[in-house]
Amino acid sequence: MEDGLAMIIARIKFSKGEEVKYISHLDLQRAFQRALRRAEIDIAYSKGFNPHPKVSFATALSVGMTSDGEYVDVELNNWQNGKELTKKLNGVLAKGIKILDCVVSDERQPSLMSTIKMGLYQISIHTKDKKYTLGINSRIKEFLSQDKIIEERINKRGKKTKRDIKPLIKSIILLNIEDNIISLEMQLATGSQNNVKPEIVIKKLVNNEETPIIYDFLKIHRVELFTEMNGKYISPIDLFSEKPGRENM
Amino acid sequence: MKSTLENIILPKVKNPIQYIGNELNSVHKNVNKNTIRYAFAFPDIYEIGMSHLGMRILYHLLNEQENIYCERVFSPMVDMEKKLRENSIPLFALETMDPIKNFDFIGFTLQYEMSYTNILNILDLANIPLLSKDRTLEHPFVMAGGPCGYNPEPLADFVDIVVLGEGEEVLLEILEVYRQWKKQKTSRKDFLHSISNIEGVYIPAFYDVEYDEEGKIMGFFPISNDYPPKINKRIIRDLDKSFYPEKMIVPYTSIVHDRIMVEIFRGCTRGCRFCQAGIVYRPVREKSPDTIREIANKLIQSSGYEELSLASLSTSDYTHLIPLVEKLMEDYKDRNIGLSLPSLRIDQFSVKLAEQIQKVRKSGLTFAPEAGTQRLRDVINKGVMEEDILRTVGQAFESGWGTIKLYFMIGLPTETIEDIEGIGNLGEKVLKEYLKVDMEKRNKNIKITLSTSSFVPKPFTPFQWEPQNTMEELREKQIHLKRTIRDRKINYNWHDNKTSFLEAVFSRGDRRLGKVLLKAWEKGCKFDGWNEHFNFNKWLEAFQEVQVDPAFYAYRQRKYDEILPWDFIDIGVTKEFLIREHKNALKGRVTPYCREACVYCGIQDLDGGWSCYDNS
Repeated sequence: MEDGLAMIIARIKFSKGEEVKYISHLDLQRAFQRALRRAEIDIAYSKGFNPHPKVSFATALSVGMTSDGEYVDVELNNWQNGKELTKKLNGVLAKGIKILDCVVSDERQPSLMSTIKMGLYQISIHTKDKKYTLGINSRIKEFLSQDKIIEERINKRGKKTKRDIKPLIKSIILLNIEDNIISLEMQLATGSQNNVKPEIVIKKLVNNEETPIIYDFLKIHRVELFTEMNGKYISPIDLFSEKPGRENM
Repeated sequence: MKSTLENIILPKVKNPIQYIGNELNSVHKNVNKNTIRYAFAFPDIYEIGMSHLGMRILYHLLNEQENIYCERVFSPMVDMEKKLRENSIPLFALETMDPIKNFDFIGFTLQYEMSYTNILNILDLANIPLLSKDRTLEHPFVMAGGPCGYNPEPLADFVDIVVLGEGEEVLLEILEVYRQWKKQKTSRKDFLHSISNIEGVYIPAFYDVEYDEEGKIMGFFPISNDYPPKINKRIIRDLDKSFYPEKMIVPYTSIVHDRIMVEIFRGCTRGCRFCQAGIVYRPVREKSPDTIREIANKLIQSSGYEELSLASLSTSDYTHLIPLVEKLMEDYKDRNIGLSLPSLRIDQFSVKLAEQIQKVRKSGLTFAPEAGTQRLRDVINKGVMEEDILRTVGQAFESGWGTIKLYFMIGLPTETIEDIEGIGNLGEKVLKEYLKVDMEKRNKNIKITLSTSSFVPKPFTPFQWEPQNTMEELREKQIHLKRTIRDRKINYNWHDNKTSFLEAVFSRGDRRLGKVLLKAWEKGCKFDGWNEHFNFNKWLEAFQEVQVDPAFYAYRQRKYDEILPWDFIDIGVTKEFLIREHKNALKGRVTPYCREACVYCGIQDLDGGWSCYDNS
């Protein structure tokens, strides 16, 4: 766009599995760039003293979470078919990262980061004892019926701040209970405008003062990220329709 | 156990990814009853250990073999160690997360004396008896090798097998004998006995030491005629034919040297008299430019790394450096791959090279004059003249560099106060060179850093008989130098002299230091190379409690006829040569470097004969 030409963008959807769930966002970015090099995909670089590949990721996933709905936009120098890119990348990626889908377009697009609105998460709470699974349904109802749910945070200047996260929670559904494990599904505001982390919501839900749910650990899985179009939530990849570059037509 | 580790412990520790061996190109094999399981242990944290080239080579070499599975293990960080101990989880190897106590071998690489307590800590965390004599058939054999292995004696109580020299061949020979022995699994002693005559293998338990009333070594001998009185180091004769991995692990988390490393040669032609590596890694053996390019290409392709580094002791001395660099630059021209050339000499040639490879970003240049005056540089045989240094930095400033780092040592033999002040003076002369450059042309961000480490006399150097300066002397020199430096554009920083003192003790120590090490570890010493963990008082207590005087090792002038703890090792370079060089040093007499004239260091008589420059 800098020089007035349309950019060729590959929008890539990928998963982050158990093997790589402890990789930080920064490490993941680096791993992805190296994979692009191994796959010998001709990606665009920024100009300047320290050229870096033009790659931009959607919302960061917290360390420890897995996902089937991660997105990245990669700027290409030449148009390539999405299927081919998928194949090339899957051939060089380490265990745990897998390309699920890829579309390439040279139409002007809003940045990936700014289009993400909502995230769908699955959470399993591995409770200390089966007794903690009792009454979970009514607890969810109660939780969601509150006027406000206050999250206390420490801002960049080290000061304590408070905010109401209630409007950011779209839904919480109990999926099932098996032995001592509670499985939930949550829809949460996710993205650069409004965002709440699933682990924060879960902790608010279970750390109720009188009857806290004691658990060994949580597993959090991001099922999908959504963008909004005409009041509907759709996958960021559906915003994008594959268009071959002019020179390839 | 794995579940506790993965679900409960890892989410709570710092940088958990360092404990999970799923990186690209890490090796995952099926284990069966014939598999020889080898844990390559680096006694420091992941980001340090993964930067070590030797481990990268041996890891892939072992894993190329059928029925050998080599995995990695590093020192867990302090928070992780606490969790492992709380949950009684024995230390595990990264790839399979299996406890290393069930492995056949644990191989430690000895890079630095200050990592010795970490070796003990790793063994303890793994539930392996610390003392070699307490291990049974259920336990792995503990091996060690690497630069500090050239005096393995302080570790004699803990290590079963020491490998001297380059490991590529000897390691496989040992494992081959082990494969046979494993079928019967008679006794540990049996196995050690059966490898004791492999060249390069030293079994500390098969040797005995006697001391005189002053504590000096009176005799060092094998306990039976079955064992060799002298142990030869191993070398790889032809680097073009020796194994070099085509794939290297690509860590997720960033590590200290986060780039592809391609070795260009082993050994060094320079003969600086303080430098152990320059002597013990002789003779010089170069890889051909074609081999290097081929390896570099494969590694870049298989890793996706954006930077390539050429590794050696002295890059500038590689015979075909210019054509090699030109070709590599050509190979990577359009691929945004950076080239880094560490260990460049101080000459204009280096600046030109640096200019060529750092076309856009001038990140800074580092040189090591090592001493502040010409007299002292002659003593240490650092063949660099003040004019060279000034011309070199002058050229660097002309070319737009502003950040220059200069490394020195203090406490070198024969050093006087003039030599100390010479460091500061040199800094000022360097600054003058900067000021000579046209205001418009020069880099506005000028920063000259003078950095001093304290000299540690090392085995197998011409200075191996020399005392180290006392900690007080070193401190005074540091303070004096600090006062000498007035200009704010010149920074001065120095290494802690307490660590240098302990390094001096262990680098030239004998096996009596084993009990000090054990005591210090019991008191909680570990990560002694890390400022935030180093506790000198605990070390002093340990010396006192086991009644070993550290000054005996660090501060004592040895005589040429004294039996030194490492005398049983034959590194190819003779003691006569080291004595000759020591005498030359004291007279301030420079010895030409190998390429100018052969001074017969002894390496020419290496098993089967050796000629250093028959090709050139």
